[in-house]
Amino acid sequence: MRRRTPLGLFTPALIGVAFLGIPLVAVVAKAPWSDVPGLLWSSDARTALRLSLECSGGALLLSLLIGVPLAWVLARVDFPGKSVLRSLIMVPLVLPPVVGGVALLLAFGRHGLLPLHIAFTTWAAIAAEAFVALPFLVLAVEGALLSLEPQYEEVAATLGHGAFATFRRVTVPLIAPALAAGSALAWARALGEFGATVTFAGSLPGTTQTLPSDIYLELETNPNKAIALSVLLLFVSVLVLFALRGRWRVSR
Amino acid sequence: MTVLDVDVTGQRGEFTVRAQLSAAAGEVIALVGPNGAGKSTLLRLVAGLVPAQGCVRIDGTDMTAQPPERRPVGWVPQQSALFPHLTAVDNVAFGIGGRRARSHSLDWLERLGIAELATRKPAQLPGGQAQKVALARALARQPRVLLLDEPLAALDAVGRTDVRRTLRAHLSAFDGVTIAVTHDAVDVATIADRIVAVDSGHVVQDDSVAEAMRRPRTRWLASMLGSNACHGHVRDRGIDVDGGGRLVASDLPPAEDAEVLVVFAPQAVTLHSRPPEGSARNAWRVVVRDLVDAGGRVRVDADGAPSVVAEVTPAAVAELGLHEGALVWVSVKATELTVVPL
Repeated sequence: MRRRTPLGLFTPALIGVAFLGIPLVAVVAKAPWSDVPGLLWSSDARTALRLSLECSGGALLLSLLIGVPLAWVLARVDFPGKSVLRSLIMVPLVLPPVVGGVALLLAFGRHGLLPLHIAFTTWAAIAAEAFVALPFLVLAVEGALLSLEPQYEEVAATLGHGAFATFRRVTVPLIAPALAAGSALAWARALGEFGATVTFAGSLPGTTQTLPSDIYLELETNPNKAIALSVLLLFVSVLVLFALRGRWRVSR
Repeated sequence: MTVLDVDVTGQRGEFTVRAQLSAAAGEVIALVGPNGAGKSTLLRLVAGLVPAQGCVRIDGTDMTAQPPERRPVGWVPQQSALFPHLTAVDNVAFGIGGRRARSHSLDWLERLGIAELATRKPAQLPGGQAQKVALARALARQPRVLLLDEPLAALDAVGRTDVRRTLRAHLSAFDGVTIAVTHDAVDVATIADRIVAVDSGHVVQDDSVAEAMRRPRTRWLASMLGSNACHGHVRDRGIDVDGGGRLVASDLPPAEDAEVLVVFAPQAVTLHSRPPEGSARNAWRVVVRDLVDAGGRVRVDADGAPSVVAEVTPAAVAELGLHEGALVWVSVKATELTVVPL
């Protein structure tokens, strides 16, 4: 027998859908559609877009370079304090991004623990974005490594391949779907990063002013342009979600 | 010439395996034993996939400290483990370096009769063919030791016959040592020259196939090879069976109180509805527990002191009115019993 959906659950659920859906609809509904192409094509919008793509691409590259080996170590090597390290890597997921920016400033800023003199440069924007994007990639890749049958890597060893060759020729191809999904999520997170970036890198047009900080500043002076840029980012987010189609799971 | 010489102790989880084994060129060893006896772990110790204490020598060279990639060992795990992202020929070529890897791999697929499947991905290969590709992949590196972990277990009856034929052909031509884990008496009889039986991480028997079939030293091995076996002690020119019953055998070891395993074939067991008369000196009452079809014959499992497995014709089943729970007499001639001193 099918039971009727109780109203006490149905109503809040419907409110939830409206709460999530209406803002998205509003961006689309309120967009000055006739002006959108012109607004997006303006030179400073193009600069912000190009910078955003460069920074998020750089952040993804950095995340891959350090995140994949990190995930491999977490999945394959036993050492004391591993669970602590894993929690540490997950911190940026829950840390307020602005706090992340402050932390980066205190670590790598001019008077930081390890002064790299990159604060308020494009490198700082890349670092800030990688800081928040990294956990997404590590989670996806580690989950895939843990669920991978160890036999494939063992067979590769008996076929004469050392650990690194095995990783490159067997492990990476086998986890490719998870690697792609993790990359898409990490990239999307980097593209939308705002709090850590403005704190650590500032918002200098052409150097560190990415789309989100551009939107934030334009909202005061040129709201139509802010909305047009928001439509663009919303579109990109939906595209990423569509490409993933629920493939991403944090599996242990 | 000794190819493989192993004397190792290895740990896998909580479980310790300790084994001593040596094998000459061309030998095919069937590694048998109950589940969890340490068979797969022993293969992993030889391959270097599990850290070992002791000594693993191949062609006289100490390999104990070498990682798997430096050992001349081929390993085919239970589920063949072909790389799913590579075609059959690329799977084989994976283990061979150099420019001629691909043509060399095609030669190997050709030799195993599966050249037409070269460009297929593993997901498109039937189980038996996948197993042959895995075998080609291991053999193409020309290992000195070939380790097969239940090579036929995952296959259906047709694939099993097919792969067994391939194995027999190629293992007899292989001049290294083969160790094949199996649970199948037919595999043992058709492929192997030697049986190494392990239990609880130890080698409990190491004999030629013929000798192990005649004189198995554990009940597990006897029943795997299709025989009845019971433990007992020699007392007063007969054998007191542990758990009750007494058997008389023609070939009795002299030592009184010696611990023995009494072995006899299911075909040697005769069933009677009344106490038997005549020359059979061993006769006792049993209760039929189960009747199983065994390809035209009927296997009768019966509880008693000792419990037995008999093999009879369906006609005999009907004649005796056998059914689960039936009370019958069994008899075995004294000349049919093999007494193995332990």
